[in-house]
Amino acid sequence: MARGTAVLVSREAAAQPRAALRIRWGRLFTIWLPVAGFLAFTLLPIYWLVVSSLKGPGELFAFPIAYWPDNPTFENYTRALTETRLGQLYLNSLFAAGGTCLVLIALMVVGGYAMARFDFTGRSLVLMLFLAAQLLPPVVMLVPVFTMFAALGLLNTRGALVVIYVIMLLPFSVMTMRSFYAAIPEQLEEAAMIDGCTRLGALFRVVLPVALPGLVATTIYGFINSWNELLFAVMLVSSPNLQTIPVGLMSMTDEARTEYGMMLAIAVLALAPSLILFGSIQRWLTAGLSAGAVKG
Amino acid sequence: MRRHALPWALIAPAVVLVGAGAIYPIAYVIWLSGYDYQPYRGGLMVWVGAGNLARVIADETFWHSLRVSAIWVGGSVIPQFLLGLGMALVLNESFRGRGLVRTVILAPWAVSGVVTGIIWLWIFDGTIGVVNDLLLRAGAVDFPVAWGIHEETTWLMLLLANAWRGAPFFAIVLLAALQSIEPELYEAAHIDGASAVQRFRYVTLPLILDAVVVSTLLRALWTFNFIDLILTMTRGGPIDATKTLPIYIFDVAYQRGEFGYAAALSVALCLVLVAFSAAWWQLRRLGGR
Repeated sequence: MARGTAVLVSREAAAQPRAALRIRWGRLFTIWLPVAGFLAFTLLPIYWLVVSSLKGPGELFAFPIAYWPDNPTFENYTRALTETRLGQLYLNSLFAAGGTCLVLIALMVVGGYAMARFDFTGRSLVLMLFLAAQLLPPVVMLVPVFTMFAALGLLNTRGALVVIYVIMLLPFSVMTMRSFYAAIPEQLEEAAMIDGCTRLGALFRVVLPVALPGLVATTIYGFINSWNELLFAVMLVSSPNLQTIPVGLMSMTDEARTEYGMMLAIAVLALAPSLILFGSIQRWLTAGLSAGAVKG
Repeated sequence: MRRHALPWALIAPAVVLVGAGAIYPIAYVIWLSGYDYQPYRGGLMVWVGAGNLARVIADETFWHSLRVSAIWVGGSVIPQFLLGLGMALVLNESFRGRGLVRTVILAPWAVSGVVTGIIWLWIFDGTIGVVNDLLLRAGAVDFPVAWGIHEETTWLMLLLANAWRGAPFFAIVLLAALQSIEPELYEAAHIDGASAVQRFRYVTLPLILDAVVVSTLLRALWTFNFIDLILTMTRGGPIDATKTLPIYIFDVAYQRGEFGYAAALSVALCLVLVAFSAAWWQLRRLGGR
């Protein structure tokens, strides 16, 4: 529609030269005011979080409040680093999200390829399984996964969260990789195989490099989701030195108000990787990623 | 091409993992729902048959949590959909800086439920929150409002926070649907003299209707199950006012350690979701005629 609008405007302008000004005014109400409104709605809460995290203890609780700190300070950040287990939480989250991504990559590169290029017995059953698994409520899985992990000795281990996040993200990841592969012409690997490549050789040397942007986007999607996950992180890991950032943050909402500055600083540090990574995959969201997206 | 060994070798690890992580829990929950099982208190499994189910039906908190869930889902999905549709319509136009604006507007999608909760708890803080400050400066109130202790104001802050985080999901899905519409259709409608409203009503809406039906259903199911934000902001309070069914199940399983009863509640939850999905689909079929 974007192109269509451009065509319409230019035609209208050609037919009625004096209408140009009216159209500009129209765009103020149809585009610029809504854009400004949406930007404010999105940005002001984040602005407020960041600005508040830069206030010292005196200013943070002063009333009436200052919308810009008089003495911006990184005190909350340095205190959070030295006085809380922020470093540990950060490492644990990195391990959970990073480990999840590595396993996901290994499984979705080949799994997505099988779903995209082969018509094998049971393929539709696999499709149904992956669709159903995406719709399964996490809270329903809570008790079974807990007892299963207890039986396997996985409770309170670093591996527990990697395992459950891989399970939860696999259906989406495989289906998304499938759609990225499907967009690549099959002649590509046929030519490689005529030149003497095996099927898997063709996948890794010829097809995968073309699908790499899709693989990166899907992996980052997985990273953001495991970085943010709360429910299983609470349920499966109880020892404080293995907890992840969301769990640590949630427990801080109960603590004394004097700790609020640090909590806001940690929230900013938890938010930063998600937002930066999101910025890098944003343009894929409306194309490839939304095709298989069920989760929000 | 019909070969089985290679594709199965490639997909098998994923199928095994997803099967173990999805099929097994469902079977286990159904089986466990017939038992009384409290692993932290002795951990004996006692067969109670339909006893748990009878307990669910007689459980006042269960029915209360269903009503709360209805408010949570309706109050979340409707404003998120409207906001997201507005975002998608604007982002589908061409204007300078659109790429950057799109990235910024969609960004809350990547923010975790916990961080969203902290941001909005801080904004709605009972003494020194932004909202109280603005209301006091405007003279609308004489004293700071304790948003978190009244039922209505708690819902206001919870649903606003959820709208902030959830609207981008609809914007993303609906934008994809809008971009698949042929520009020629708008040109034709324009030549026929259709107004902007008519173009939306008779060209845009019918063509994105399927995306609307599917995305609202998926979002409703997902929102129903989404507890991070409620756990962070209210823990189901004040006095159970925001205790949705998944929050209730989480309490029963995690706080009270009654795994058997949590399983029975989980079975009830699945039945509710299946019934809701079927009703939604039926509505779509009736509406499509």
